[in-house]
Amino acid sequence: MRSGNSIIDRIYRALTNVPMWAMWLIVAVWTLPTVSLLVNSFRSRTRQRSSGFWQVGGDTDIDYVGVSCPASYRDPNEFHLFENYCEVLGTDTTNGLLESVISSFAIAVPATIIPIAVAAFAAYAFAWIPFKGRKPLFIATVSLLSIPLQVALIPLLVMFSNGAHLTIPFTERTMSLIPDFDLAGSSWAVVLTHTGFAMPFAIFLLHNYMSGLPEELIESARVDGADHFSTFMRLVLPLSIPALAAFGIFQFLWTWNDFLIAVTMLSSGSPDVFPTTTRIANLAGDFGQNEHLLTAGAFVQAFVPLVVFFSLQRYFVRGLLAGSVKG
Amino acid sequence: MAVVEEELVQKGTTSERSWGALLRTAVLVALFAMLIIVSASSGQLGRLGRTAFVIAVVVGLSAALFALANVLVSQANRSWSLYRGLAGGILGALGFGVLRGNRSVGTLVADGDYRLLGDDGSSFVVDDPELISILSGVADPDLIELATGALGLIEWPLVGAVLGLVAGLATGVADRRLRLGVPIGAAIVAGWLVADNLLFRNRPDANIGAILLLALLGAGAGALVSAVLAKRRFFVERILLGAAAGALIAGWLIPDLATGSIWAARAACIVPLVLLAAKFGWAEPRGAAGLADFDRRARALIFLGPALIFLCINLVIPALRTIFTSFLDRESEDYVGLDNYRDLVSSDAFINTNEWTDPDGSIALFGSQLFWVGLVAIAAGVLIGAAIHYARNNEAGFERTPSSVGSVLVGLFVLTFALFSVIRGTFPNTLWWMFTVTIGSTAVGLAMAVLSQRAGRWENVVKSLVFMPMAISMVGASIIWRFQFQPRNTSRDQTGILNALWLELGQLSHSGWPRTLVLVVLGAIIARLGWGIYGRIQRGDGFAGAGTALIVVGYIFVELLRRSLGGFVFQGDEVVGDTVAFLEEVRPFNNVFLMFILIWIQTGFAMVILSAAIKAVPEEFLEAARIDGASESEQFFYVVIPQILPTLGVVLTTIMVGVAKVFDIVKVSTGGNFGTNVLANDFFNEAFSFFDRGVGSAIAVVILLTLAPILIFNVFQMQKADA
Repeated sequence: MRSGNSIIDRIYRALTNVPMWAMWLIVAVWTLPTVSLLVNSFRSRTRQRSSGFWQVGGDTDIDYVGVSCPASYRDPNEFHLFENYCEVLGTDTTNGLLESVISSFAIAVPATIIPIAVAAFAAYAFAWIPFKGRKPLFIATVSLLSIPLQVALIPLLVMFSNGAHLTIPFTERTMSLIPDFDLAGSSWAVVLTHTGFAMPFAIFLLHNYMSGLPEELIESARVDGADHFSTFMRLVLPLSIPALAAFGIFQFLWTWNDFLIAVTMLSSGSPDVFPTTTRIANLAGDFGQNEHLLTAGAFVQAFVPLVVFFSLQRYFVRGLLAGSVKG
Repeated sequence: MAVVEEELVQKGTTSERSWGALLRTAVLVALFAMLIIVSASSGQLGRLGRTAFVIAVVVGLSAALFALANVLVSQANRSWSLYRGLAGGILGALGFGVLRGNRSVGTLVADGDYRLLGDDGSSFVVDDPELISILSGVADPDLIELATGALGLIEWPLVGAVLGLVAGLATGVADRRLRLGVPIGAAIVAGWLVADNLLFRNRPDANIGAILLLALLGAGAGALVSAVLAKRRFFVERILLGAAAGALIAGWLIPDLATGSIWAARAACIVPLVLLAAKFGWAEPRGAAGLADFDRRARALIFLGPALIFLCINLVIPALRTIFTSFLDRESEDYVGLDNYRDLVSSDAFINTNEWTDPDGSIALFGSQLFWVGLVAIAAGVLIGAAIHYARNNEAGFERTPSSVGSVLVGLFVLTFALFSVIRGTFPNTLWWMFTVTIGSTAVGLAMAVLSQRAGRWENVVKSLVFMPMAISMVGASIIWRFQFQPRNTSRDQTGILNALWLELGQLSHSGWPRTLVLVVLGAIIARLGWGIYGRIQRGDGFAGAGTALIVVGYIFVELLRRSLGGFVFQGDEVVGDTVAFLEEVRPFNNVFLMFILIWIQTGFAMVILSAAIKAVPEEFLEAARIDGASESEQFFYVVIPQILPTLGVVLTTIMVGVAKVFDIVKVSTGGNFGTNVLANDFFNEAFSFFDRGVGSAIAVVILLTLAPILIFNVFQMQKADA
């Protein structure tokens, strides 16, 4: 290739490297919106509405300040960095997100722990306990991955609010299989729903990881007289921690960010069990009035998953690697 | 694979000691501390504590149950009799508990001792049999308090446990008389107890002769099964089980309830139980081989049980119920046949072809520029592929190179745009989403996975930044992008970066010397690009990169020259900025902007998984290809892609299934207005805003059906992989 050092030549070389500039362009497009959110979340209502985030300063700060902020924040001539945040995290029940952050934890933590435990057992059985019909059952389980959750939502909601009753054929007698716990509207309904829907993916991922463990290892444990229970608890479970962590992170992100299940299962519940997504969607719904709080709200909502992801990123990739490459 | 794994593990352990890990731990701890402090200061600590406590209790109980089940099975290996006893005890307690819990049994007093509850909490005993029979037919069961007699809510399960324990223990001993006698005795006691405490309204009007007859028939059926299976091992057991089933049917399913005599109830309770007890007592205690077999099956059941229960209760049964309710009316009461589906499919909102033909009667598709651009791009891609293949191999074929595959993909993309802008409605929209988002995010993810490897020390930064949107909820993402798409009145500054750039371009396009300057620079670049491409053609090198750059820069140059770049309108002679309302006005392409939000989120997922797969491609393969003289793009298309094909399949499936369910983005961004509705949003509105369960279920089934091909394809793939 001919190469000169004039400016045009340099531009040419940079331009012909289309893939690289395309990559950096994509990185910019993928990053910029989040940056804009972060910048805007520190800007006052007037500023957000009168100029773009790239004009960080913008207009003077004549502003409406919510009830949750300290009184000193009401001085219109001063700039307050955390104005939106103090309102969003404040105790004001209409705009406050704090309650919903706790509600989100109350949903996401059990909805992460329970499926991991349950799916780990099942994955072990599919990987290492030979029984009749194992393969068809496994394929059936994993194929449930492509069942859209909408299909199960209405009956689940009915079950959570009324319990499950079986009408015995010919007798017109109904029997309660699951009594009416009146779960609809409580975070446990959300947790249980998440647990069910997480199962196929969890089993798929953990099975791929566990079945990749060396066979000699499991065999030697069997020879030493360990039963399946102790093989699982003492050997397979500790070895599978990367996959468990990967799935845990994925499930945590998913349950924390879920909107559909929360909004349907909690529609009859009181607002203090609403997770962050529901609250923010409600904020977004009342056009205009609280628009300036959306930025801070969305950032508060995204903060926890971002921290979780960036601090545990390594496990995430490693566990998914096992799940996908072998699968 | 194992090597890669090991490498990763090592990498993990060494860097875990680094400052970065320390920082991350500190952030996590700080986050946790903040949560506690903040919730304490706002009086929410109690709630946090309660939740933590409930989680601990639930997890602890479940773990205890699981361990208990395993201990039970381990017990079987030591003492079969003790295992049978424990299992029998648990079953007995459960059975009696369920009966009592359902208010099927409840009193030890003679025929139906009912009490009526008054509003003030007082109660009086009803002992007139005629009144009872009327009451038990019509009265609300909740108004009738059961006279619990000697056995209450606690005692029933306890009695059941004791009876089960005794019977179970006996079925595990070696002496046949004991093995059969004790369980049968316990069964008689249990049956008698249930029958005599059965509420009057639950008594079956059974005929003892019929019970015996059906038991005989059932026994015959059991024998027949043994004969058909040609297995003699469980011959007697099958006969006894069949007889028990027959007796159960004759005793409980055929007769009416609430009219029977006490002896009929006794027969209906005792006969099946005795037969079952005999079935369990018949077999010899298991030998070593039998025990091993039992151990395997029991463990499989214990390990799989909880997961299967969750799957059945949360997925399988509700899905079947949804299919069922889609044939019922909005309150799920009356059967309406296919009406819901007919309403759905016949509505213009679901699918309409109003724009299929132009007003003058010609087919709109053929009049659309996009359609022809798409076709030309595909044709060009095919031609390029064929030409390169011919040049390299001197035979007809299609060579996969960045320019040929890229052109075909872009063409397909444009073609779907053309197609879906004339076929409108929620259903086509959903298909459009599934296609565009799946292909878009996989393609970008794959490109980023490949390109980030060339970024050297920036690789992890690039990947983390691209992955970041994955951690943001769709609600949050929609809000972020709403700010970017937002137009403002042009008399004020723009707040969305897209409109701001668009207006700036319009300004530039009508400015004086800045436009000239940009035109000159662009012209120089075009000339240099053209020269470069000419040189590469002379040498026979690829020129896809330079070609793409030429097309992009050339397009901007021409538009700038025509003064048509950017957003502006003429007001008289004055040029005024003109914003674009991305989500409201540019129909039907506002759909694409919404899809882009999802592509933005999903790309990171595709990238991370595909990147891992690409790194797992054995280096020897690439080395061999290089020695054979394969170029970088050939290595990619002929070595890497076939290697990562299974992973690509997983990624495509996962994203496509995810897309079909997405409704958050549409709901938050446009609420389904402006022609952006999709099935998932429609489902939500029908089922939870209009409370029409019938149509809601029908939409859910339609979503399921659109995904069915993927499901079937995946099942076949897995079967092939296992074979």
